[in-house]
Amino acid sequence: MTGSRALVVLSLAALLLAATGCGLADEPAASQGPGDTIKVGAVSSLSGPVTFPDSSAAAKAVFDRVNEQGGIGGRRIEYLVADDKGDPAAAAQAARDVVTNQGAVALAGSASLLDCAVNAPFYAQAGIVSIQGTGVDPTCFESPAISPVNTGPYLNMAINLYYASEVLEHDKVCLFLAILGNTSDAYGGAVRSWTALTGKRLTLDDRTVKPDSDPTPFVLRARNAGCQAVLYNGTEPMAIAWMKVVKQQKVTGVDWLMTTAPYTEAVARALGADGEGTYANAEFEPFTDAGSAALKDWRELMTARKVPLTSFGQGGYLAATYLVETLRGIQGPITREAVTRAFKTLKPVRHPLVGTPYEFGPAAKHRSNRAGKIVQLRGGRWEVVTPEWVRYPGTLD
Amino acid sequence: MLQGLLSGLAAGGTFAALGLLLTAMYRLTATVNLAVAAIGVAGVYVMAALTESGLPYGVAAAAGVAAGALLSAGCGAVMVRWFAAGDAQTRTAVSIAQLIGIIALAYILFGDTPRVLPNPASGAAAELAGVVITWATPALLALAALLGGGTHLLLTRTPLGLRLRAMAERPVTTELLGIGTRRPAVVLWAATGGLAALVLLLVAPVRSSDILSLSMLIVPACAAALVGGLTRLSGALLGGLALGLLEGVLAGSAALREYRDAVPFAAILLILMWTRRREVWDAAR
Repeated sequence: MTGSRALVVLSLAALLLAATGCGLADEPAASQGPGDTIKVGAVSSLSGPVTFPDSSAAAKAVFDRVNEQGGIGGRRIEYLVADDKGDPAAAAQAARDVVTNQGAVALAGSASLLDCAVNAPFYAQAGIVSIQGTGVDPTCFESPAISPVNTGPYLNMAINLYYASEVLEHDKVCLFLAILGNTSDAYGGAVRSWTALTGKRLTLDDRTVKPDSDPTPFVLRARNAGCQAVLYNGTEPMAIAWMKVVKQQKVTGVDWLMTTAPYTEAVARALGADGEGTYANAEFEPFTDAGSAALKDWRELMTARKVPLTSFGQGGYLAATYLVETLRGIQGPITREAVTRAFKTLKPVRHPLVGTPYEFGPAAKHRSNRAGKIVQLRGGRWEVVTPEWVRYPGTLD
Repeated sequence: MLQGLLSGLAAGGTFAALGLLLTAMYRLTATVNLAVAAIGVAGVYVMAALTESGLPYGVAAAAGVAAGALLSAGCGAVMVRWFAAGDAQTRTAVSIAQLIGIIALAYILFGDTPRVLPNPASGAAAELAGVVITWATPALLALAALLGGGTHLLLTRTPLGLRLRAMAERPVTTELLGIGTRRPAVVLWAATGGLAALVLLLVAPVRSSDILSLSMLIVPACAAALVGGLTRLSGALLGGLALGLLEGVLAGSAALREYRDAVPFAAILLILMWTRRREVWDAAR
């Protein structure tokens, strides 16, 4: 009897909740005076097996500077970074806390392997926009509520394919992929797009590399197939192992092109002479280029605030910068609706750190960063090979 | 085909050496020590931290091996002190906890930034069928053979081996007979930790060197040990080699390549079914 009564009470409570719209899309603090802070959120992997702390740290540096200079119309930005711990349940919880409980007006500088995949429908439902600092999983590029500032692994791969076949003019281009989660189709889209654009086909398309695989059989396979350019999407340790095996097996005369992931100082150090000639694709103005004028503000800010100089940091900086500029342009009270409206009607924004303008707008999916700069390891340092942006002329479906 | 086999030789040596360590530990301490690869990884990262601080490789590597030994001795001390009377399942469960603990601790201490890992055996030992075999491969194979031979001698020819076996199989009886085995058991744990670090020092420079990937070398090592039923040293040696060679061959086969990583799991499953066949059939009758 008690059990069934409890059930009735529970279902009544559920009904009430649904009827009053106390669901997920509600914004708690409707009236915000000039004294209140502007709450901006982020859902990033700060702990767990793969972490991306630099993006939100860089975004925080931007917001702190804005606050020190008087904020937005006198209102300070309060930056709420939630840790998704690399765990889907924690990611869902983190997003609901930041958006529903804390009442963030927008999300900026998130960097996570699973935030988009888990939370994209929720963001769309809650009417909030996310200016993603680093989008990795395909959902980041396929949601009306999310527009990443970075290129992403798939367009990155398409740019590499284009660079290998059209700029380096190789006929035999080979692709080795480690497929994590649901990324195979997205990579497939990049390959199809490249084929449609150039009429060329891959000599080898091997998607069976695993993070803990010994790279030796794959490297030998590439050599046996006569590959002139080999594209690989390995993470930092995977790319290091790959290039060490290349050196060990004395494979020469092949151009090895990596995505953005291994473009780090740590990889340059760990590989040393073994990495000579390795290419990578920088999603933003290459951060290792000390003389670049485009990097001046970013570099000074990051150094002053002790944020590591990495590609992820560039993503966070850009996301925060785009948000601040948009917030400054809003007439009237800054609410979630106002911010979302501003981004849904945003005109493309140019920034010297990226090759193509940042877009949001009303589109159902966003992939505005369509350019990269190719860098190469020479003498243990990353050098910029293409001072001009390599813009991908095709589109991904 | 030959090229595939040769390219899997180094992996085979690795699996065999780790599989033998598992087998030896099971026979001598009645524990399937699933943390053995992770202990080796800790040694590798200690070496990396020391070389980065400017120590020469030899000294840093020795310190890495010592760190592996020390960590393993710690794990062994826990096992001997609190789980001596526990059955194999309990002790294996404890080793899983130790595995997770070591991985978590290693991430906290060393982070996930790639390290500079000098390769002590990167020189070419031979070049066969277009595959360069580095010195790491014969070194691993020799290490595996030594491990197998050494454990066999320890078990069959020494009083210490006999005591350790007694301790592993009948811990309470052994203690009641007044045979103290705690200290030699901890020393044995330390030795296996040091050896695991040695294996990983040879392997880590040419594999994806993140903590998790390297610690998970325990999966093929388990498959290798299971080929010998966790008790036969020769089985673990041959099983490890066969798994490595199979992986190398399958990577070159267009049709079967996708299933390459399933090989250790399929092997474990088949071996378990084969070893359990009598129990099931007898029960059915």
